[in-house]
Amino acid sequence: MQLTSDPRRADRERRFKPPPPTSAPAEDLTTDYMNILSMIFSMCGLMMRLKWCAWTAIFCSSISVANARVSDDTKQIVSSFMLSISAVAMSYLQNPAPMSPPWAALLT
Amino acid sequence: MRLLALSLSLLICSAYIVRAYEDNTLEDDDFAEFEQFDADDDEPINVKIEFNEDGKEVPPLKTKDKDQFEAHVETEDDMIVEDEDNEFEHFQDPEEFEGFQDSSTPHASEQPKITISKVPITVRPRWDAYWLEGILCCLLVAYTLGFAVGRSKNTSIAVNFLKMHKPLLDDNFTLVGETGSDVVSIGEDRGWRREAEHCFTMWCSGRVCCEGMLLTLKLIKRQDLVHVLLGVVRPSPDTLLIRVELGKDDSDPFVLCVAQKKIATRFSKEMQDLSVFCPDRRPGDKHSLPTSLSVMSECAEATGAILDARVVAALNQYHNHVQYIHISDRYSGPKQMEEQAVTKPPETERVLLVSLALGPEGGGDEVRPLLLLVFHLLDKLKRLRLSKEALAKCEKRRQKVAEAWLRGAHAARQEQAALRREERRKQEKERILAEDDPEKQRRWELKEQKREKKRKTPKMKQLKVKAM
Repeated sequence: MQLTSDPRRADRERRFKPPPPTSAPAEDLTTDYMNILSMIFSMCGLMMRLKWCAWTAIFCSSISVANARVSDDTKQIVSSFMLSISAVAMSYLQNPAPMSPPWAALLT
Repeated sequence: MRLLALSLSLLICSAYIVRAYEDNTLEDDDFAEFEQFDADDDEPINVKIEFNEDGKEVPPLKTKDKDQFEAHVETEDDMIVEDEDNEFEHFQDPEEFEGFQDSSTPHASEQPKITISKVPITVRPRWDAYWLEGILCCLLVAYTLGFAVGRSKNTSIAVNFLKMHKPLLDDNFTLVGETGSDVVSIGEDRGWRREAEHCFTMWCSGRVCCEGMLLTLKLIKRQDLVHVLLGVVRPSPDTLLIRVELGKDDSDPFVLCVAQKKIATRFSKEMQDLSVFCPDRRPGDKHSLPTSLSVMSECAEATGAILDARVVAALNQYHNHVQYIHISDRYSGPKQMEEQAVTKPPETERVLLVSLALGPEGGGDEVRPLLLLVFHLLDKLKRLRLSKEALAKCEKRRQKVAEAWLRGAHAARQEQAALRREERRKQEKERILAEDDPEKQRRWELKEQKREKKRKTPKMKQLKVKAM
């Protein structure tokens, strides 16, 4: 399959126009979901002093950062990340005792 | 001589007298009178306080070498102390009372017991108690490392793609890629625009038969360790999405899709144009294609023209890498939700969409023939002219669809207008009921009844017959 003549045409050059959102392929919503989950877990960690919630929030926000698109709102992602870190810090400042694993309650 | 001796003796005497006077004046200082008080203050320090066997305090022994004033003061103090002792001495004496039992010992034992509760000793737990936190921190570090490694891996795949296929793109387009800050390229050249850590896009334009071509390199989310682990369970390939925007005169109006079976089933349900114009799916072997492929076509003539010998050969060879080839003059993406966009038809585009599953590590030599296939299809589309009958059929189908849209839109508009009317009437009724004037309410009810009656009666034409 070799092309014979030169198909290039400078006069047909067009500027890039992003495709309409309706016809674009399905957007990856992992970032948004993880952002929301991170905020929910952070609030749970802060309010209910649940350490595992705060740790889960950190992981959720990390996944959110890793999957973020360039066009996504950076402020929101950073704020959710900082919130999750502060949730962990606050939970250990209030109670520096180590976290007990979830199965510890079942064993006792 | 005697005078001299006398004068000398006088001089010496006067000198002694003057010195003696000077000494007296020095000793006569202003704070001398406080010295005796200082001595008093110092005195108790020297006094030894002694306790007898009962624990009673024994008055200190008086020193006899005190001056009169001191002695006087001390005797006064002692007297006071003695007076106090004497005043309450009889309470202490058990012989003073008759029939009184000595309660000093039990009284002492009745003192309230002070129980010291055991306060938990706040000893910091040892570091090995934080093993769970340690594991979580290790996981975070592993995730961060995975992010860095995956990001660089994806970037290297994108760069490798440029190295392998940019010359071909440069041969076909005058504009390939872009420059800027967030661009992945070889050196200072134009290259991929980074949309995410796993998604790169490149706009190519300036070619016959099309307005432009958008390449989207959708790689595995290697930067996300969770996704990588999920990929072990359910592997998914790196994909290259090619979206070619066709000009108005670049193709005849028809819809055709060649896709893997699973994707074809999904598309026939989800895609607006395919569900409307291509209701039936045909297996690939009817068109000399592998059985893993399905063909959805609006016009048989167009299918035969597009799927020529070269295309069929290429598809037979690389059918594992071709996810779908979708040619449409009425492409509007997936179906919209019912409550949206019912009143106006969706915006449509004339496009050629190709999705390629790249081989491991971002694809290799299989991409070049598939890119050539895309260019061949573009040229083919430009040259293809449907017969008059086929064209008329296609146009008629589009007209029908447009009319159906209009009818649907009209019905939806009427429905919306009826809803708005009903809402307005409800508000008016509430307003009237809220007012206190019963006459007004009665009038409104009469008006409503009249309107309802008028609506229910069938419309009839009145014929006026003139009297002869």
